[in-house]
Amino acid sequence: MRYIGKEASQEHLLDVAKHCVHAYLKAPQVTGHTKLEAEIVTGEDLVPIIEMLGALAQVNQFVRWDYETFKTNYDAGNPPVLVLMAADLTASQMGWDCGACGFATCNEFNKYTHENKNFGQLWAGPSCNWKVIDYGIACDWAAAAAWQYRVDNRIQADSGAMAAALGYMPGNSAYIGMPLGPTRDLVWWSRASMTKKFSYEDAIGSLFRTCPTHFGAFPGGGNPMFKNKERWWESPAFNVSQEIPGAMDAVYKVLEQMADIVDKYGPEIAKKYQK
Amino acid sequence: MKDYDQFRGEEYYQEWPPFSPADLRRKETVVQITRQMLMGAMTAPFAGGVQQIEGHIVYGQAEQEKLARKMEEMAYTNSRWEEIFKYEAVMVREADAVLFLGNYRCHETPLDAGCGLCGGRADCSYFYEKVKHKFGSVDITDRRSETPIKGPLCSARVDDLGYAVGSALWLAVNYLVDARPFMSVGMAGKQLGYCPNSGIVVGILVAAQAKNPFVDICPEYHLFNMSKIVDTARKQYITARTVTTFDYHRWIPKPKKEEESQ
Repeated sequence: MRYIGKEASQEHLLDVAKHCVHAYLKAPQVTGHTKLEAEIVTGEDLVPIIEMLGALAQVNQFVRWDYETFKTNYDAGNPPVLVLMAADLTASQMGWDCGACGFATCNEFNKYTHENKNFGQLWAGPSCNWKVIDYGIACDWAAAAAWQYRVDNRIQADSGAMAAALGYMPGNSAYIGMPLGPTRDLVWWSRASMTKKFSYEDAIGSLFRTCPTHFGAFPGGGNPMFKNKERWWESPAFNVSQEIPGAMDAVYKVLEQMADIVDKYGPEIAKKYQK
Repeated sequence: MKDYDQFRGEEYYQEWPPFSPADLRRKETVVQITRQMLMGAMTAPFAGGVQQIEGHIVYGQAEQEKLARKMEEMAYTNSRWEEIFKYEAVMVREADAVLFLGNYRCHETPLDAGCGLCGGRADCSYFYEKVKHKFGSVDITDRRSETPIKGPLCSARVDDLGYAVGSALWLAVNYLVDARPFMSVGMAGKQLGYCPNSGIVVGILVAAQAKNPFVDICPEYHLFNMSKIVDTARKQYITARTVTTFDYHRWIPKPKKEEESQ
């Protein structure tokens, strides 16, 4: 018998994914009441999730990085194995009345949640924070299990949320995706998949937008110049905060695209859960 | 290098009797592992890689007793807590070390990502509508609260606390040391001022003993635990000795057959 290392290690990712799911389901809990669900998605079944990430990547840098990494590796024939981890955190059976949710009692929280449960940008809420801790412990155990096998992995809200939007594991409120591999050094960190996918100006522009105070000149005048070029004192720029009408239009367009992708794949995925 | 000529010695370890030098040597090793658990918590995966966890390690007979008594005091403030807090106070006394992990951002500097976890909305309004803030900077100086935890909290940050707890527990498992996370221990620790900057705290009890002190608990555990059973054995046996007193220099009672043969 002879095994090719690359193929064997790719197959091994599925075994590791099972170890991760096992660790996730077996993790210690603070409440003892948090119900966890998990699935493993591989091969062609990744395509709808990658397409959803691709749509959202147009308006979100973090998501773009994840999309490019999934897509590059999938197209190269080395798709990661995606572990999906979900839980419903929106009800408290404990009656601890701790107040962490913002209500004085668990009864009030449960009543409010029953009437107001809804999805945010990623997950649904409101959540019982002790169940949130259980969920975090469990997801952490899954990541630690992957690392125990020296498999590159990353905890992702975006791939989890895209799977949820497509209809995976319905009825839950929190969804995390954790891609495993492919097998090599540094897949999801210092990402080789991003090579030449953006410019120097893109990177610096990102810093200007995300850390504007770092580039501020002397602030004593009350309206500091913004050091956005080598000779920043010439034709000075200023960092102003203002509302931009229509700034969210691009996001709404992307949401429409995502709805189309859900229409395309959602019915097939929904069939998996029909009893 | 001269000091290494004196690098020699022997160390004896035993978990009984409690707080003997051999037992304290064992406990000290557990504290060292607990420190490593805290380091594991510090490197857990966090949203955006942002540092947000503080840790506190507590050990020693007086410190653990103080914590256990606080839990027993809190047990009577909520009928749903009573048994849990009383039982887990016993576990605090039996633990070798206590690790507190808290999130110091969940009530003051949220993720601000509109994730929906705290309130089911696509913005952070559920949180900001309920806290005192100016331009999104939360004023936490009013620490008065009618509930043990002053909510709401940023649940995305709380989720990250879960990752920290998970990594700490994972390290304990790798050392084959017993560890479990507790709400009660965290709540009492928070009231005692451990993890002083955190909005929510989890208490992890750690032990390296023949029997895991945090599982296989019997009913009325606050009354029927090792410490109580040992104490009643001392009480009962002393009296039993006293009621059948004799002078062993003169005569020692023997089974009838042996006495007849003498």
